[in-house]
Amino acid sequence: MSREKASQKDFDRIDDIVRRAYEGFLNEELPDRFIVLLEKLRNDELPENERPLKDDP
Amino acid sequence: MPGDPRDEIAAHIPAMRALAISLTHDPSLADDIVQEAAIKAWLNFGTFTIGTNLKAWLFAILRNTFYSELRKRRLQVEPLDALLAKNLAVRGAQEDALMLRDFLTAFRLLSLEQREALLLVGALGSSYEEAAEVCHVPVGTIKSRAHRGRVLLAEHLEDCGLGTPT
Repeated sequence: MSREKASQKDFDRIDDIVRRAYEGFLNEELPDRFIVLLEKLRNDELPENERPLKDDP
Repeated sequence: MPGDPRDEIAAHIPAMRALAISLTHDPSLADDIVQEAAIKAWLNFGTFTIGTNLKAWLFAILRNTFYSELRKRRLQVEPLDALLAKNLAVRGAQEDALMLRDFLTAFRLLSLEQREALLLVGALGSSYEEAAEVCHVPVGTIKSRAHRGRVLLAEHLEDCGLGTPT
């Protein structure tokens, strides 16, 4: 199959496979570490050693 | 009294994890990267312009954190077969599992940039404009990377006899 022959139907199928393969990650239960992290951030209780070395995102 | 606008970050963490896992192929490392990105986002929220695209801003921080970690650790990204196979296996479709094996062979051959574009646009539902913002490249570059990735995958599926019936 050449670049020209690949159809929109092929591309939609590719996207569908990628989407279905990855959607499981989106629906996973959030690990507890993130609940704890968010609580620390909300309460401004993040220890120095957990802060990034650079604050520039 | 209005809530803390930074709380909106929490709603995007599942999508950040999905992207991180798909880039690192390592859930444990992905969680480390998401945690660091979430902290950076929270501590630097003042640089975010309220009313603009928070998801794109977070994905950009996540992506920067990932590439920084990649350089720092000289990471070798491992195949994602087991993780993806688990996801599809849950759906119980043997045909999917067989196709997946061939699909992954091709997916691994794509460049990181092509995979990234396909994940953002194809899997996570970002617009081309959002994906371009996240990757700090022009919209045309994202379209080109996604298109090239799709063509290569379509070619591979066709070669394996798994092409789309006409």
